Amino acid sequence: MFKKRLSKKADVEIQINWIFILIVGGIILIFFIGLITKQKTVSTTKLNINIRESLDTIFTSSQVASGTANLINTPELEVDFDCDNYYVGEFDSGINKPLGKTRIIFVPDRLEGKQLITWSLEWNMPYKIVDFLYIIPKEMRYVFIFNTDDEKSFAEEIASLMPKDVKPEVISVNEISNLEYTNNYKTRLVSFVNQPLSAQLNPSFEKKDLSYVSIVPDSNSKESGKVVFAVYSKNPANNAYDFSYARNTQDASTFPYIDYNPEFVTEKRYPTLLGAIITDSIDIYECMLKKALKRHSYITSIYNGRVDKIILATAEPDHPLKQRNCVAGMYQVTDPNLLSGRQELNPITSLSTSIEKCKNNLAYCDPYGDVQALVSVNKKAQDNSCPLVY
Amino acid sequence: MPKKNILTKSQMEIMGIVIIIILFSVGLLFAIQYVILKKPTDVKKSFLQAELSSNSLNAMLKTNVPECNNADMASLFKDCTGVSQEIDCCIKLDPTQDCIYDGSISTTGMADTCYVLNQTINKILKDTLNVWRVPYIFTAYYVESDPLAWTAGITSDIPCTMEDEGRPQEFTLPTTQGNLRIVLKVC
Amino acid sequence: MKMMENVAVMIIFFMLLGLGFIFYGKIGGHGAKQDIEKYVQLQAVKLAKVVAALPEVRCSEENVPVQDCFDLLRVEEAASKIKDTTNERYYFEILGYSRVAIEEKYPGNGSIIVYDNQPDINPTSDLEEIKFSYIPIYIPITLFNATINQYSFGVLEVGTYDK
Repeated sequence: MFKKRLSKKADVEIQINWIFILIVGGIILIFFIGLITKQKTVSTTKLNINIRESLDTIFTSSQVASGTANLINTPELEVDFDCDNYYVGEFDSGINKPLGKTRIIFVPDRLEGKQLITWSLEWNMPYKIVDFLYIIPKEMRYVFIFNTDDEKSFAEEIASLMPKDVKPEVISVNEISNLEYTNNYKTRLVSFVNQPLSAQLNPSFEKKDLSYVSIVPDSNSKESGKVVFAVYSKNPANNAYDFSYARNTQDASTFPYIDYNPEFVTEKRYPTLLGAIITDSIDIYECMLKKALKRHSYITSIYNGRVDKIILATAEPDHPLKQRNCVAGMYQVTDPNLLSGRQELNPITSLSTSIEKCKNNLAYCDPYGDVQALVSVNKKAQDNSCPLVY
Repeated sequence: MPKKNILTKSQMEIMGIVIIIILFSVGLLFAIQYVILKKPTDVKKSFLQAELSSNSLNAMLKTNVPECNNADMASLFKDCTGVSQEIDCCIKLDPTQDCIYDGSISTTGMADTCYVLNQTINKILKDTLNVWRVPYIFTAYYVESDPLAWTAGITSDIPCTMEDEGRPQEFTLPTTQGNLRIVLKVC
Repeated sequence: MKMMENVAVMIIFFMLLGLGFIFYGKIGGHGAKQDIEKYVQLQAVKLAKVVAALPEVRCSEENVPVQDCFDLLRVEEAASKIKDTTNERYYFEILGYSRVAIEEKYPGNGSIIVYDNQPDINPTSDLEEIKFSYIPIYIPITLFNATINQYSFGVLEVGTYDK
């Protein structure tokens, strides 16, 4: 009887023990699962912040050193860009940061993958304005299209300027139909052909992110010209895929590229043209070009004031500049072919007016003549041991 | 038999406590080693040591000296170490004074380039590094020779300690006597 | 009795766990403080590099930048342009809450404050007294005066206002 009671008590104790283990075990399990979930969220946010900080460092360093291209290994990236911000992680729940008014970054509207190529180039007009930063995902494919020999050599020149990791393909317009989709998350066709492109691409490109830009250099110089942005999409009229302007009309999809390549520099050329090639978004290109012109306007106003001071000094009777053969009128443009024969005491004033015009309307932007005038004046000042304009 | 069981159980429990204490101590040791005893990295100091010495030397050598017909200091170094000094320097005791190029320093203001260099470098370093309480050592010498005599007095008020010694910035200037090494060590 | 023992063991277990977390938190906090200090120092160094590369103020010869050299005429122009309220916001994006000054040390003496933007502290706010520390960096530079073709010895003072 006693033995039976004892065994019954032991049974109850064992059962209570099991209930106790279940409850406490459950609590511990829930606690640790909660901790892991929280830690996972924290580390994702931390990773996004790290990516943002790394991008931020890249943006800042581009303001300090130009001409360098780097291949950067990153964690699996998903970064979206627009004119003013970039978004790391999920578009709505991720982290966004403003790009700022002073950073000029030519980048596709979305970065994906694990490798980025960062590259920076000086924009000289004719003096240094800013370093452009280019961010190119390794996963993006660039195809350059030419028709004539001239177009081929221009396409090859631009391809040779790009970082070696980009590896753009240069093909003839006749080879377009042979082009096949190669699993790149973005494909950009860059046409140097002086005619609108209308070609049936391989069906593998359908529903894929494919963009197109056409480059039309000015007749007198390749350093400036126009770029026309287009997209490859389904035409609702015939349900077939075709190229159409990025905006409603051709004029609205056309922007200038404004470069000046110093004679002795062979590698840092065509910075705005390369910007139009690298970014696949017409909005980003327009926005960055406007930012660049704004920066030009600020720097030009400073250079303008400086040259005014030097010109004022040359007019002083006993100024040391006179001993250096630096007399009044030294900074006038004497070449009748430049500035339409206008005689301006300070050649920067004319460039400044052109840049202001560009800022107001990109369609009528052509400061190339004023830039050349300034180059000639700077050379004259150097030949006469005068203070240089830039 | 039950006595033996109790002994084993208490031994097991003690073993448990020992394991917990060991784990706890190891954790604590790691924390102390990696976090508390970790020396904080002084980014600013390492940047400044490198930047201060190289920039001071570069800027100094480019600076024009009005007392020596606006010659830059690199030319003064070459002139000072040359066989015959060709740059005329004049330290005006008052602004109205004219320099007469045939007398001694005290009466007419004429000075040799080495003297002007000593005065100028001293003034520049005293107005900058000394004011910022940064210890420094300045010397100029030819390879395998003693430092030039006129550089002897150019040192900071605060001595350099072994702990603070930074990498010296060296500038090599080719002269008629050979390569002159100009060294500024910022501590 | 056994149940009580189990409960006691659990209490001690959770106490140790709690202590561990507190310790971890404290270490994390210590690390974060060091990270913030390092970040502040990095900001000042970064700013110094950015200022030295600004085309607005640096010297150039045929567009080739001269290392560690500031063009005096450009510095004067930039200082007056930046002070203009219309341009202030633009330069705030580049320089933030900071002070940039250039001082001539030899042969002349003089100082130009190129940019000085201190954070506004709301005097009515009584939540917490906010103090901003100014951590300057001094970098020796050359100053070029184009009108008299003279290089002077100067100092670039760059400092950030940090909380």
